[in-house]
This record gives sequence, structure tokens and C-alpha cells, in this order.
Amino acid sequence: MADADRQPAQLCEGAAVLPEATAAAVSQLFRDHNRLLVGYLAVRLRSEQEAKEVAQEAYVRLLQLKELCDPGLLRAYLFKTATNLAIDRLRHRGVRHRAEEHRILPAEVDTTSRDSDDPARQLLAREQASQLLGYLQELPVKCQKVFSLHRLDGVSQREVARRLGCSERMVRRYVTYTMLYCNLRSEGMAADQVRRKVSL
Amino acid sequence: MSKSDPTIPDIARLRAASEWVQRLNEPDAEALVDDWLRWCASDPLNPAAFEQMQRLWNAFPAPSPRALHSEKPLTARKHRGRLAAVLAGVALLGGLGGWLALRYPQVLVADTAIGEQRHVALPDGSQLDLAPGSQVSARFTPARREVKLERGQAFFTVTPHSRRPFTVHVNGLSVTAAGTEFDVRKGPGSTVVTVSTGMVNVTPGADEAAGKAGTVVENAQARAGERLTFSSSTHRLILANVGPTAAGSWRAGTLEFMGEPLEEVVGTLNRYRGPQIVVGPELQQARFTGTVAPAEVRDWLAALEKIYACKVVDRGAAGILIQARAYNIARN
Repeated sequence: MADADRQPAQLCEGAAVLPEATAAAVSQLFRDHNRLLVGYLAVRLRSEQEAKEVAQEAYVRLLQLKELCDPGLLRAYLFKTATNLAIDRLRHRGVRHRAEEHRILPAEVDTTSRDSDDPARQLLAREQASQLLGYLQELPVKCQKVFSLHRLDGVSQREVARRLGCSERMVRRYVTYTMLYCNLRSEGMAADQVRRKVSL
Repeated sequence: MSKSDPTIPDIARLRAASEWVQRLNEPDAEALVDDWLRWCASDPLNPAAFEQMQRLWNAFPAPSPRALHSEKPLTARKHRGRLAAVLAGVALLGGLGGWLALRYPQVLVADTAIGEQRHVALPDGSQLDLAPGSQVSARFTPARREVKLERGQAFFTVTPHSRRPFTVHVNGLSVTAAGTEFDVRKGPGSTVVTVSTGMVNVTPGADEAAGKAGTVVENAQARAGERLTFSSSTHRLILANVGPTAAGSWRAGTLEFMGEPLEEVVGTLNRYRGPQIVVGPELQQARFTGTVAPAEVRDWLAALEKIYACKVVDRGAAGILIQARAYNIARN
């Protein structure tokens, strides 16, 4: 991520009015964990753009803390705050918004514009999604069923296991295999080669 | 990470990354953050692997409205009554077939109107279910059983005959079966053969269309649970796993699609209902996976607007148009 090291503007502004130590601790936290925090949030929000916005918001909340706490606790607090913000966002996300969701960000993202506004990116995202669905079809039917229910329908892994009469462990294994398979296929590896290389 | 040839540790790392993506996606993920961060810190390549899997995860289409992917179809229309309807001519010839076949080839034609579904018994004991808006002609000789799918879709249940092959001609392809249940669909851009039990051979057909269209295809086989799709534009056959229940599932009144071009989905739906649906050129190849009940097509269209960047325009009796949304106008 190109902008992973760039600090949010608020962080710098806030630093002047806060106790030096808190600002320093939050800065350190940002350097150490921002990329991971964004990755964590992107999984939950299904959008890197929003993940970055939420991460930034979480740092700002951290800077508003009255007292400086232990770095380990501060990190826990950062992830907890970010998780709650993400939950709020998911709750408020309207149906209309959900329609704009199938997109993937390229490695470099201009944080000033929303990726959902760019038709070229949307087209790219739709093409990629359709390509992935094509790879999905090459997999055993059980894999397709499990993955479709879980990822495309948003059914929890426990519920998928119950519906298809298999263990949750197997559901996870199918999903993992599907992701590995699609990943290697989208990197250009031939279907039979992937099958030889990766087993369920 | 090498893109061309991932090593065994690379794959193990991606596997672990994929599991973390799944775990962090669960409601109780917060409790796992410390463990996950420890995993990320344990190897400098781990965070990149995680990001790669997270992007892949997000690159799949967003969860769609439940109606489109639900296990159970929205409505399971009963067609039993209609299925029982037997084409009179075919039934008559079926009874006499035993001796007629010795002298005369029997040519039978059966067709269905939009929305009509029909069960047909063939003179050799084989049966076929004819989907709405479809037509077949059958020619039976002592040596051969040949059926031509002129349009639409049919599900065949073939009685085995060791020396009398059963062949379906469609769109320049010959689909040969023995003791098999399979489905053949002739769509706007592709021909799809799905096998329920047994096996079929697909070869470039002796059909008159073959020579003209220059359909050069390799021979291919499909077994139970497999589907062969022949694309009219690329002239290639593609094999996919679809499961043994996929073939002929339309007979229960619900249409199932697995990653099929919207053009084909709509082509199928149009055989079921009145005002025709037209897909704009930019969306024809968009892939659709899910279940559609023809009776609930309005719900499906509404849901479609949420999945794809498309707009559904109802022109009344002139049909329904699915077109790409114009971004530059719609924005702001």
C-alpha cells in the first residue's frame, strides 16, 4: 500500500494540543499497525477505502483519550474502537450503497476520491468478479456450494455446515481451498497445475 | 512472492492468510486480533499474504439479495399436471412404433408455447421433457435414434440400446448418449449440455449447420454432474462441474444458473413469459449465479439492479430493457 506510511492529517494537528507522550504513543501505534488495521477493517467492511477512513477515525478517537495507557492496552483500544466504528458503518450502510460494493482497489489509492465513483474501476472490479466466478465453476460442486453460500450469500460458516450436513472445519477447509485456487488461477496458473500443487 | 511458481511455503502462507481472513470476518473477531497480529509479526511476508487474500475475498461480488442465491427457490411451481400431458401424435406412434420402425423412419415434431412445459414419450421408450418455447423433431430408424433440438431446451431420459445410438443434434453439435439422463439447451450465444446420470459424447455434428458455420470443435465427454458449454463466438467447448442435480432442475419450475452470461439467463427466461427481456450489449457477458423463478421475474430484475450497475427499464408490451447505468450522468 503506497500510502500506508502517510499519517492522517488529524493526527499531526491533534499532536500539538495533546500530551507529548500520548501523541508519540499513537504515532508509534500508527507506524506499527496501520497497514494491519486497514487490512483487518477491509475484511469486515469489504472495502479498503472505507477501511482507511475508519482506521483514521479510530486514531482520532485515540488522541482524544485523557490519559495515556500502556502500549499494549492502547493497541487493544485501537482495534476495539475501529471494530465498533466498522460495525456502525455496516449498520448504516444502505441498500443503495451495497450495490456499489463490488470493487477492488488497486495497490495505489488516491484517498481524496472514492473508488466507487470511478466507472473504469467499477468495470475492472466487475470483470474481476466475473473472472473469479468463472474460476469458482472449475471447482468441485461441494466447494462451489460452500463458497457461494458463505461468501456470496453471507451465510455464516456454522449455518453453512448445518445446511450442508458437514463440520465447520470442513466448511473452512473448502473456503480456504477455494480462495487458494482462485488466487493461483488469477495469477495465471493453469487449472490442472493448481490442482497438482494444492490439495483440499 | 513469485507469481509464476509459488513454493510450498508460499502456499502454506496463503492458506494461513486465507484462514485469518475468514476468522477476522466472524462476529467475534475482536478477540482474535492479538493472535492475528502475532502471526503477522512472525514473518515479514505474512502481512502481504494476508492483504493478497483479503483483496481476493473482497473481489468476489458483494452478497446479493437472498432471493438470488437462496437454497430453496422462491416458489416451486407445480408442473405435474402439464408434465402428464402427452403429445397425442407421439403417443400414437409410440404404440405402433414396434412395427412401423421396420419400414418407415418416424418423423415426430413436438413444440411448446411460451410458458408451456410438456412431457413427451418417444417410440423407443425414451422420454423427454420439453421446456417452454422449445421445439424438437425426432427421426427414428432401426439403426439410429436422432433428435434435433430446433430451439429452446429439453431434458432427455434415454433408454439404453446397445446398437441403436441416441443422438441429439443441436447448433452444429452431436450429443450422443446411451442409458443417460441429460439436458440440452440452445441459447442465444451458446449451447449447453448438462449430464445428470451416465455420460455423453459431444462431437462436431453431422447437422447441416455444421458445415456452414465452420464449427470446428474438439470431441468432448461429459459425465454425471458435468456441463459442457459450447460458445458460438469462440467455437470452444468448456467443461464445468455443476453437480448431478443441476441438469433438468428447471422441470420443477425454477431456473438455476451457475456463472452464466446474462444473455443466456435472459434467453431462457424469455421462453417462460410474455414481454421479452433485452440485455444491453455491455451487460450480455456479465455472469450470473443464482436461482430465478419465472413467475417472480420482477423481484429478480429488482435484485439485479443491486448486483450489477444496471437499470431496468419497463417498456410495457414492448419489453423490458436491462441496460448499463450511465455513470457520468448519474454521478452527483
